[in-house]
Amino acid sequence: MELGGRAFCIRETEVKIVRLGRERAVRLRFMAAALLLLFLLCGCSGNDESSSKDQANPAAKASRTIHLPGGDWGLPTPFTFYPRGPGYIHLSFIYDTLIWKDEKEVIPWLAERWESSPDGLQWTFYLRSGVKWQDGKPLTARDVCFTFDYLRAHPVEWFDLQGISTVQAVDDETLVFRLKQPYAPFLSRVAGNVPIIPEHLWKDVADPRAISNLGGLVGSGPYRLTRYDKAQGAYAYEANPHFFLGAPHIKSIFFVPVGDPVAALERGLVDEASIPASLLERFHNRPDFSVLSGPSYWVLTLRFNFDQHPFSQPAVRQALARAIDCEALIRQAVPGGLQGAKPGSPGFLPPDSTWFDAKLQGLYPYNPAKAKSLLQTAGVEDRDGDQVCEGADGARMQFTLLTTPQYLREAEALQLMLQKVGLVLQPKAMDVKSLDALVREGRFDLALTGHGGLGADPAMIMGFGAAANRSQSFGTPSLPAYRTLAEKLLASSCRSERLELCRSMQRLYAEQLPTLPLYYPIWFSAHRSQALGGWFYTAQGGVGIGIPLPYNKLIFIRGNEP
Amino acid sequence: MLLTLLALASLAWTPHAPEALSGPPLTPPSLGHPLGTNGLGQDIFSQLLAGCRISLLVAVAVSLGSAASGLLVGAAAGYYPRRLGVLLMRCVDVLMAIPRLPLIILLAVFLRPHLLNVVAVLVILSWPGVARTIRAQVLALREQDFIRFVRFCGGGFGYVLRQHLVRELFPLLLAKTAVAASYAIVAEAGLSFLGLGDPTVKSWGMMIRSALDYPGLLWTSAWVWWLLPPSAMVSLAVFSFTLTGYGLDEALRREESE
Amino acid sequence: MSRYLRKRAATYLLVLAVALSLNFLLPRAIPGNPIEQLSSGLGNLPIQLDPETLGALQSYYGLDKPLLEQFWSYLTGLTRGDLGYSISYRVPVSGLLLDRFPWTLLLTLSSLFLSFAAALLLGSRSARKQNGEWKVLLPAVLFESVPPFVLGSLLLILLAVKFPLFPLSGAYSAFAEAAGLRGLFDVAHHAALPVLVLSTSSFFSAYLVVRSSVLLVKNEPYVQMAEFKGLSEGTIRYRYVLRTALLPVVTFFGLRLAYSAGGAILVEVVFAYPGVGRLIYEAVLSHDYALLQGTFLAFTEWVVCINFATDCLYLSLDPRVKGV
Repeated sequence: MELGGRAFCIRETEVKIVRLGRERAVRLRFMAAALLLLFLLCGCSGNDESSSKDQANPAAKASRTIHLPGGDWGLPTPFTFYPRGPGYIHLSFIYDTLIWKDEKEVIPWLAERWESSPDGLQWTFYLRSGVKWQDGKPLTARDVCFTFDYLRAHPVEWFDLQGISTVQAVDDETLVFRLKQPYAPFLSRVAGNVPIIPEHLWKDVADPRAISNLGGLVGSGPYRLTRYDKAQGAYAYEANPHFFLGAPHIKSIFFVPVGDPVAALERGLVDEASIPASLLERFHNRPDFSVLSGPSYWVLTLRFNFDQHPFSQPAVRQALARAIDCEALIRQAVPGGLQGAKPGSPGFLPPDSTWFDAKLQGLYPYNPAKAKSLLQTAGVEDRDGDQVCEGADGARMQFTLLTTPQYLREAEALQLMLQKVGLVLQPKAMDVKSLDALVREGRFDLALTGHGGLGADPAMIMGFGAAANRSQSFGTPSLPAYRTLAEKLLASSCRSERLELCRSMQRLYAEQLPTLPLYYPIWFSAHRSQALGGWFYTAQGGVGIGIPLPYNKLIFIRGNEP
Repeated sequence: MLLTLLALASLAWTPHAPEALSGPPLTPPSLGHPLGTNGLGQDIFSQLLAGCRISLLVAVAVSLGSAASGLLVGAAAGYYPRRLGVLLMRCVDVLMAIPRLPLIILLAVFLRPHLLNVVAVLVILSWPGVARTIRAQVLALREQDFIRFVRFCGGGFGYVLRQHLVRELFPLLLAKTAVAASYAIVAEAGLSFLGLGDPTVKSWGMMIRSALDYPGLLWTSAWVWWLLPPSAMVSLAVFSFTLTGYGLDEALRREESE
Repeated sequence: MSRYLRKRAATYLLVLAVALSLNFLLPRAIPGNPIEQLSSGLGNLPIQLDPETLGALQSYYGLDKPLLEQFWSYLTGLTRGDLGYSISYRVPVSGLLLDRFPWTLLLTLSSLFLSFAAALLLGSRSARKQNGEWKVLLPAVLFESVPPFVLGSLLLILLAVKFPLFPLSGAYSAFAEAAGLRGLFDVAHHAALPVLVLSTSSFFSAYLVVRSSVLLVKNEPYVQMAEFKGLSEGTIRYRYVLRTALLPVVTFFGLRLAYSAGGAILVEVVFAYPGVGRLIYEAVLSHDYALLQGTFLAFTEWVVCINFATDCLYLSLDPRVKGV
């Protein structure tokens, strides 16, 4: 019995081992097959993608389509687009404004010509004849009036209509705006910004923010939206053959989602992408890519706390301006060096702005010795020979410089520069929210902050605080003279007078130096030369009220013509 | 496993260079900078060590905090199982049911991104797990003879806890807190990766985040020595803590079965 | 419903109540107006609100009513399915959630199935032999220790950027007219990397649970009886062992399902996958409080529902628990 049992056990074990081996083999084969299947799956669809990519390139040459980096910026209606980034760009493809801008100047768009009354309170626009909506109906002045009335009933932050008193259609192609007071930025902020919507489609819509279907997106613009994928941030546009300037050259525009824009550009998924300055060499000598540079209308400034001694004295701030070499700062801190940014101008406006006063650029040339002597006359000097200045009251000139971690290099460079004139700076990195809070509450010595939107009308940039009681986020000189200039700038409509006023404001700014502009970054865009030429950055501040992106619809309408 | 832990601990006490901007940005590894420099020009190696200090600090703080509160609450719940215990366990259940990462994100958005807040949030999320196991153990211990004798003699809760229970519960606590520590490191790295951590503190998660944020990093060769080392360090730390935890678990189980 | 289930249901309702109050009170506890933040901070463009527009927008979003009234309208809105309006996306939050939810579901379910299948295979196998399991254990722990976003970023860099084998982002190719099988391949291609990363993080614990429960069952007398009877390996394993060992595994599966949605957040962010996890990240970036609240609520509801379903399932499978 025992023997039999043991034999039984041995046989059982043998069987087990054999079975185990077979089992394992079976299982291994099964797993291998599954893995193979998985890779085939991925490989197949990978092939699909690459073959469609190959088709895209010859297609780009033949059928005039273009792929651009996408992202979700909202459904392109005036009430649902996202008021940031390229949100307005999508809006501009479908809807038109009264006037527009190209790479040089303001050009007529829906309005053929326009004039303003001498007192600046009345603007008359003469519309182009024969403009049709994308559904065939004609566009008249009544649509324009309806647009403005509707926008006042359903306000959107992007459109600034509070200065308008009435809008009236004199006839089918003429309309008159009456303003409450003279408003110089009217052309750029209203006529060049507000998209005209068709009355026959919108007059019965009670809640415009609830629009979700594409059928209602009828404009007069060069493109119609055919597909919108919100989750992925993808848009597809088809050209409008009855556009008033003629059928656009590019027939289809696809905005596709990309993870890394440079990777997508290299892989051929998109035909254009913005590239950081540090990657310029990568695209420079390649015949299939062209690189374009344009202003970012953004500035990094050194902000002073006026309540803090000694920064309350303008002489001290001017001395510091002389102690800081902006070009050296850019070379040290900005990736791409002097190719990546332009040195700051003490008048605040960037050199790319049409309102820029070039004479101010050299107002405070780099001169540490002069800076030291200026500080001395202001009462700040090194009295005890320890290389660190003391103020008039004997306090050590030692300050903290608040910054976000992104600008630590700039902070360090500033620390070194100011050390040479005897001021000790301690960079302190913190998150954006805390930084903003501290600056707003005035609990800081010096701070590095940045601002964009410098392409807008100068009355809005330099005159904020004076213009319509808005809260200041930039610093402005608190002189009554400045305030008067700002108010005049807002009201006057004569261009040469405005230029003069702006120059005076910049000069006052440069003398008072509420903040010291350090540099203005430069943006780069690389595109495939074969897909489309004629790219440009829009003049006078950027698309619309000042979006510094190279997606002006004219590029796609004109095609390769320069 | 414990050896890895010790190695990490020793690293924390030998950081040599502070995180000053000590070189030109994105230089490859060299004698002066064993791991090169990052986009700002800071030495990656010393940042790695500083990050080690931070991560260990977070791990220790969270494990201590959750151990202490978990012990207290769990022991109390086990000791007075009728009313207090039910109430406390209900709280524990509720806290355990709330999804962790979304809660961390929610809290991180509304509190200032300070390291202390991060630690506090992590402690709040970790102690329920500890409490639950402690309570189970205390429930069992409570009925043991010597504890009953002490209670019969009139020993109060605090006394029993200090003198007797802690000694019994210590190995279990250690095992649980090792797991809590590994989760703390992962959670802190995840928070920094999402950009919600403390930006002034150069933890490993922050290093990974700033590496990924640098425009065009992947097209230089810099990502190999900027991105990979902190990733490896995080994994290594979590690995050693997890193994320690599981090892302790195994040892406990073996001890119990003896 | 048994007493046990009733107790659990009460706990879950409490959880929901806590989540709701947290949701509501937190954003209102900090100073600042979300509309102002939205208009002035993002894009750096000089959009500044005049008082009238600000007032109109505030009344549209209901921010000007007293706190209690806001809370009440929030609750009543919830019962109707109205989760509020997303300021940054300009659509109702519920619509956004419904759109994105299937993608998160796809990721979590696929990764859980993958990891559990692997765990079942390997766990039941290693339960038979007590040693040699370190071959599986060590790499599994190593992979689990690597935080999912680290693994995801590395895989993305290696397999999508450096060697373009996989797509860079998204759930499917934009404007792909592919339907049927090609569409399926496309979706699988996009989901491959995220699913792989997610499954590594849950594999190890699943493996442990499977192994321990199989070990427990294996020593039961009826299993040994089957061995003596001479039944084949496969029959023993699959008919006797796994069927009973499956119970704790099932509950563990439910647990992981509940919490994996939260774990998918980081992976979705790394791979730019349009799921609910990415949505909560975007809400954080744009300070969109309604969206943040909505997604947090969605996650909590998901956890509660799955937990409750698991409890019911467990109850029906194991009669021992009913009496508790």
